[in-house]
Amino acid sequence: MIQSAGKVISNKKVKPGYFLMGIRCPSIAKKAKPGQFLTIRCGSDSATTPLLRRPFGFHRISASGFEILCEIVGKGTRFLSGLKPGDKVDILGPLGNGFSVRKGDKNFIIVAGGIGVAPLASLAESLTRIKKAEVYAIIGARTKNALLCADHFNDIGIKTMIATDDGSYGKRCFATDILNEFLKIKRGFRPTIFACGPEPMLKAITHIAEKRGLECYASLEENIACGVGACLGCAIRTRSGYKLVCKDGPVFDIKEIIW
Amino acid sequence: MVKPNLKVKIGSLELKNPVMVASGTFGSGEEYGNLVDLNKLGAIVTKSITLKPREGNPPPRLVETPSGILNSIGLQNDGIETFIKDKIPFLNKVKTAVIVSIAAHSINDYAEIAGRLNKIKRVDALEINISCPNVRGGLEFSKEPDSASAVVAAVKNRTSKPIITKLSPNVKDISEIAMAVQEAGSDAVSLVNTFTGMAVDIETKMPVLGNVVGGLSGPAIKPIALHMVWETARRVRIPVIGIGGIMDYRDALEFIIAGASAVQIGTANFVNPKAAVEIIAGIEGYMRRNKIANMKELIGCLKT
Repeated sequence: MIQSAGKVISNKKVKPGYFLMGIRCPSIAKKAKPGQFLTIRCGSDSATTPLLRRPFGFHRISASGFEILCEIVGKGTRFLSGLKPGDKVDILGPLGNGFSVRKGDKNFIIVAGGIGVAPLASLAESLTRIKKAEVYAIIGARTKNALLCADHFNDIGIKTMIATDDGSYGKRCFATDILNEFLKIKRGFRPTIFACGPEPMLKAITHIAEKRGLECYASLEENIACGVGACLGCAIRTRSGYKLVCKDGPVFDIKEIIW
Repeated sequence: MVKPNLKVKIGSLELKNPVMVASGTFGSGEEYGNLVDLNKLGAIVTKSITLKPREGNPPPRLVETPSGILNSIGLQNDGIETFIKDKIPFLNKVKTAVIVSIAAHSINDYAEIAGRLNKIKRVDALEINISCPNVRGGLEFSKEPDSASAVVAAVKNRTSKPIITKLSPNVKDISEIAMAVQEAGSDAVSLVNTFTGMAVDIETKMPVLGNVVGGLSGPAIKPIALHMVWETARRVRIPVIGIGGIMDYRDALEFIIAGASAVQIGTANFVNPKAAVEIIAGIEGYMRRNKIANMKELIGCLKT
């Protein structure tokens, strides 16, 4: 892990309440893997609110930098949404363990809910580079105006299915409804599931994966203070005791989680 | 001018500078080893250890509040034996003072941990945590002068290392407790630990923290902590170590001028891992600018 000054190279609103920021930071980008995260100090040096650095999954990663895709939910993300190209940001990363793909695995399905799609884009890109891989994605959102990344997933050749809560785009259902139906129709297809999204979605996926005996890895969120495993603040319950989202995760085998 | 002398003494322990990282905020140092030059720190105070492993409190354990953090970690640690086996080898390579924080539910356990650590050369001092607000009984020893001094006397009996007693601010008069532990043989006091607090989720109508209550730290508590340090430093003969929301060298100097012989950096480590190292450089710069040759000239120089 490295603490480094990154330079904002782009920052644009992608949907109402959502922004995509490009950051130049080669030292951290070179080491980052899909599923890992970074923390950013959201304010001036002397600001005490917001106080803690805010965690974000790497959205897309290149040799010289990376993107973060964020939803404006509070003071920290509001501050970041106002940054301009050329602004400096204090970044710590890469943190945690990323997604790992088992050797020989060729069948994958990505399930994202809301802003949970953010850390799955770089994973999606890396999965499409596996020879003869068959990759699907299901993206769920509240409404069309909150649907993220669907075009990008299609552009990189991933067959993408969409669910919205209000039916304003794709099917009017949950992402997990599509997952259930898809697995039922596509018999014999036994994909590894990669997921990120709200807790009810992840709980439902746990159930589906267990019922069908599928491997499933999910990226989890918790309030993060240190990000390096020192403060023990981001503990979650697992079948082998408390684990830290920042150090043991944020990606966990979903069967291990006690919801 | 010549390089200012930042050395301070905590009992028989000499530190290269007055800036330590606070217990629970820096693990055993290893967690931050890639980010921070640990050798520059005045001391590392390690995460509190108990005799037996403790799994800690149920999540959520941490939430940000205005200019502060509420935490209820609950003394999660692997126990003294694992600490000695797994952490000491790393600490052996670090060229700074190592102060081991110890916590327990009984006076016997405090004494037992102190006894086991007494044989470990790398341990330069003990900090007795009698003030963790997040475990049942954790605060009890710090509440009354008698129980606080009983812990100190029992630890003193089993160790030849300097003892620092970490005090709780959740008491009627913290300087009373400081006086009591001084009489019991504590070589220094560190204050303050976190203030008991809580937060409520108005949607679920549930406490935000899994443990319901937690300890408040960060800039929100600094003026109160500073006042407690000033009051205590005026009453005790032993060194006072100031803790509470120190974010930069100016904050650190406020504590030192008010009477602290040294300071501990806690929450600021999360905001900027290099905070402690930058604070050391900031203090040195201040001393140069103000032509102060020795830290001793600064400690308790408050004009009232």
